[in-house]
Amino acid sequence: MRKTLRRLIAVALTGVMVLSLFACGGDSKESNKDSSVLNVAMAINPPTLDPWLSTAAAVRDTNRGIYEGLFELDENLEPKEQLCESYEVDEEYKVWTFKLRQGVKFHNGDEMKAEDVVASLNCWAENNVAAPSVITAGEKFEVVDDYTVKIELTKPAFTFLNVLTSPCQFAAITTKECIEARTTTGVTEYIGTGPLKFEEWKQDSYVKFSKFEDYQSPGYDLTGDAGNKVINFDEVYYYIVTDSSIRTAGIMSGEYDIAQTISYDDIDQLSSNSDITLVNNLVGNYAVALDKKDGPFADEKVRQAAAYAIDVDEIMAAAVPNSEYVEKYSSFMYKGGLWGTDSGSEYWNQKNAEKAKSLLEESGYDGTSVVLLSTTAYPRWIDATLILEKQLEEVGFNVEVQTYDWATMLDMKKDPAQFDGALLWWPLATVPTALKLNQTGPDGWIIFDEVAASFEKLNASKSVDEAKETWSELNYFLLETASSLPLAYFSEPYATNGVKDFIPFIGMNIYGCSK
Amino acid sequence: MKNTEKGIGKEAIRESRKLKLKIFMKNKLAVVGLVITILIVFLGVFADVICPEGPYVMDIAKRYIEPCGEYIFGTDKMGRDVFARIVYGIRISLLVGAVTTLVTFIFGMVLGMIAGYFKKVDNIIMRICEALMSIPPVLMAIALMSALEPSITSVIMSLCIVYTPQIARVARGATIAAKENTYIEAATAQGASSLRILLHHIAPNILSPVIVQGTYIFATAIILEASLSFLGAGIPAPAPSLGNILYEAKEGIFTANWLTIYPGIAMVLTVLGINILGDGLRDVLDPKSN
Amino acid sequence: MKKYVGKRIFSVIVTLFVLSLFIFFLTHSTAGDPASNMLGSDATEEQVEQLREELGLNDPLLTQYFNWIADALKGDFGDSYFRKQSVIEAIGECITPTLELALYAEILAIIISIPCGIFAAKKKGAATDLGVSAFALVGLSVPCFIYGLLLILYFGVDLGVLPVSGYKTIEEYGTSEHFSYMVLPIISLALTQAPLLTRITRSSMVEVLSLDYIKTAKAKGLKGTTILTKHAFRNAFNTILTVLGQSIGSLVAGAAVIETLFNIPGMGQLVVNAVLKRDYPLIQGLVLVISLVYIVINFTIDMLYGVIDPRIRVSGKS
Repeated sequence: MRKTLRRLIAVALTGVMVLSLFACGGDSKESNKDSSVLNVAMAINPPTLDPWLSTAAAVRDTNRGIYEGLFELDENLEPKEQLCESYEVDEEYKVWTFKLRQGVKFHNGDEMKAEDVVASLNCWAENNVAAPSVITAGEKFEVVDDYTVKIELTKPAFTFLNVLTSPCQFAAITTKECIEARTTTGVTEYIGTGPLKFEEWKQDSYVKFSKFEDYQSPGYDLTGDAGNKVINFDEVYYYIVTDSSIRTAGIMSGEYDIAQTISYDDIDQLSSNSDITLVNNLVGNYAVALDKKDGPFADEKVRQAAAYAIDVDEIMAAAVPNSEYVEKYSSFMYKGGLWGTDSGSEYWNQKNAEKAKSLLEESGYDGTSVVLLSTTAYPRWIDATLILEKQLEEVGFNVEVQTYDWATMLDMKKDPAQFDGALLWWPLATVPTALKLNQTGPDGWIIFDEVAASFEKLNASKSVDEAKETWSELNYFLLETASSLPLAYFSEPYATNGVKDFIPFIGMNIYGCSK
Repeated sequence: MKNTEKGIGKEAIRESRKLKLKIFMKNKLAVVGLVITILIVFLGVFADVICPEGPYVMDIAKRYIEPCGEYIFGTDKMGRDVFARIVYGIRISLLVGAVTTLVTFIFGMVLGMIAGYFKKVDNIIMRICEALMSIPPVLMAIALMSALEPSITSVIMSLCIVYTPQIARVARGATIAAKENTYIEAATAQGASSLRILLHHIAPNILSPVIVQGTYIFATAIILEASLSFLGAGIPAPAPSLGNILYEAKEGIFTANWLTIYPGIAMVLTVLGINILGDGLRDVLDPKSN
Repeated sequence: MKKYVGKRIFSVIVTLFVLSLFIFFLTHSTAGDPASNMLGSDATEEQVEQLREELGLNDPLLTQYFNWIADALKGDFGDSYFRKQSVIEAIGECITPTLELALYAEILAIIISIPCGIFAAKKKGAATDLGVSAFALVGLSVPCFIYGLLLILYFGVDLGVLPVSGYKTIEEYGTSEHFSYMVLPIISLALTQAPLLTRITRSSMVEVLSLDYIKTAKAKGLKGTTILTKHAFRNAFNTILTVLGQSIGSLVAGAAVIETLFNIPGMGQLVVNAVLKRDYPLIQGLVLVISLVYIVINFTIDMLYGVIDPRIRVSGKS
């Protein structure tokens, strides 16, 4: 017996030794101390890196260092010249002429010329979902000379520049050759004029960039996404780390220098660590979209009943537990931006269950089940949807929440007959016409002739004030008819470990930061 | 070993049953397993008596409360009682395990007997079974779940498709062995119908090995469901299963370790009880295996 | 024998055919499609429809199936929709981490389980045996992701000494960094494999130790250790080896959960991601290749049994 025991101990010791041998490796993180390499943990796996193909925000987040547009957004969310030297437009906002900067080099060494810009922009116009709001089918960008590009529109487009600068599916400029070689699943080579040169994309794992030494600044300091994009690293890695707890662990151990989208639950844990800084990134707004095409919500009274039942504070507490990351607001456009408006706020966040019950009774709602759509891809959506379900049931709705994986949800939402509403978030919109108010799917079950007419009116505006007035009217209409219910703007924390001057801007943005 | 119960008198059967019970009770470990399982099943069956409020009561103001008197296992990110979620989670996990075992048992048995008895269809059935068995269970279940609507029924259906071939293969093997017995040849010679032979002579004989295989399936089905839910492809939120409670716990692992620890223990105890019980059953039914 | 082999090969081909049908129609019947996934949530229906057309997803299913199977027979499993590479390249890229993980985990499992099993068998019925058996039983009841979560909680969060996610190649980052990333996944997987191996080792050793020749050896006065290692273990080794082979197989195929939890870019994660993105060619190709490997291994084992035990050939004929 004693002999056996001794042997057992020996075996156990061997095991421990092997384990500790493994564990010893734990401290060596040489590569992360290297100040010329930046390691970033990204939250979402981009489906592609082609800028024109996908509307997913993760695409823009990952490829924004490679490409630049003619215009970029400044910190007030307004377009500012980047690859463009100057522009001209006629009184009717129909003929747009752009003068390009000279001497701008692509990553392959070629100079950017008008033919590259025309090819890229026409590709953008064909693919971008918001482009039809300003460009009618058949209208193309044209080469005037090597450094001048022009487009003639049939309809006035006051918001043309805003749409051209909208962050999703952005109007990136690449070479003519790249566009010509582009296939259905996107470009085969990632060549732009941005400060980061694409090196390698290891699928589901990381994207590697190097500093583009010949980067040409537009000649003014960085503001938002526009201006001189300084990169203080030789190499930049964007690791795809979809699990939030893993990003948190990685930022604490110093494995990552910057981590995107930290879980709100981990904020306390991280802020107690003096090496770690948390920075706010404005994401977009939460909204409840109701299906006006069919089902119970086709009835305006039923929709209004739902609107009165909603307690924005409680829903947002589930979606974003830390109130400092929430800005409750009764409009889809950002409060602090040009388009902020208070119109219709008397219909918003009323928490009036009695009014909701009486409206529901008036409408003759027969207890038909109302299906709310949600996705496992964003746990916070589910959480907030469950609260919405509770609130609607309290005033007499019969609610059913259906949860699908992302791919299935994308498929399901094409058919309004399957669902009656969804709680979801929209990425930051820089101009009302880029809002998904005139599309299909749960984001866009708001199709109204009124919306289309209002957008047309907005584009025919002659001044900013006139445009703002039109938007304000539309916002009132949306709230009054309970077509689509904005809840709140929200931001999320990004964390850095030992990185200075990191300021995210509509997502990951590493210009100017250093370690 | 493969003696038929037909040849033995009723009393002898009773005797042998008593003996089996004796073997089982003598195995102290099996009794421990039985106690754990009874406890777990009790929790699952009487979930709505133990926690009448149910697993869905949310109170955002009470999120992430540490285990205390009122919430013995604490609360989660939605302010829900973790104890209630675990109790209902056990109910769902047990339900998934039990229904899967039962359904695969019936389908596997029927398919296996048909394949073993009728040579003509043997090849077709067994090739299909082999094809299904060659796909790793987790991958197969994920693929199936992406084709089905997310619900408990779909999870059970996927698990049944994963496990039925295993039972069918065992049942087929046992049927082929049983067919060789002289009394079955005799029955065939007497002109008994195939159905009669299958039901009265073959089925009772192959029951033991099939049940032995079934005891494995109960526990592995619970684990597979948990793995599926843990990958986000199993039972859809907000319904609690032990797997998706743990999946949600991952998000708060830095703030609330009780969300991982207690459901984890519940999961292990559930499977452990069934495993020990299964071992005990195997000792009784198939003494050779030990 | 030749007739038997021919018959078996024929049945393998039929199995593969059934499998290809099953996996093709399963993937294509899933809700959600790759086109809208690639274009993002705001794409219009026309854009999605256009991409579907260009990817060939609007052809009749049977046509798609025959195109796919005809190419597959030539060894071309098509290109992934999302990765800019062929299915074969994707597999080649992802198989290394999975194989490494499986190999390390198996070695650790052997280090734990073989000695435990042998000593338990030797002391059958004693406290050691009960302890080992209990350990094995409890171990069998713990899903691998629970080990993973607890290890992350302890080593990653509480102690903060080990990285909890990712994969570093030996060539680029060196051995110590490579292993520091692999420790937790290795332990999680090894702990799920060890109980099974321990049980098999114990039961086959118990069987061998009760055989007459061991008793004779003992009677002859040979040393206990010599009997145990030279005679008994060698005999029990065959059974253990078979189970070992199967367990490596299940490790390679079943590491999906651990790879996802620890963010290791292996085969398991590849399949899970492919399913989530509805990357049809990749799902089909992967499942077909994984299953093919499984079938070939089983076929080989069958053949070997056939050589060793002629009775199997006879019953195979019936």
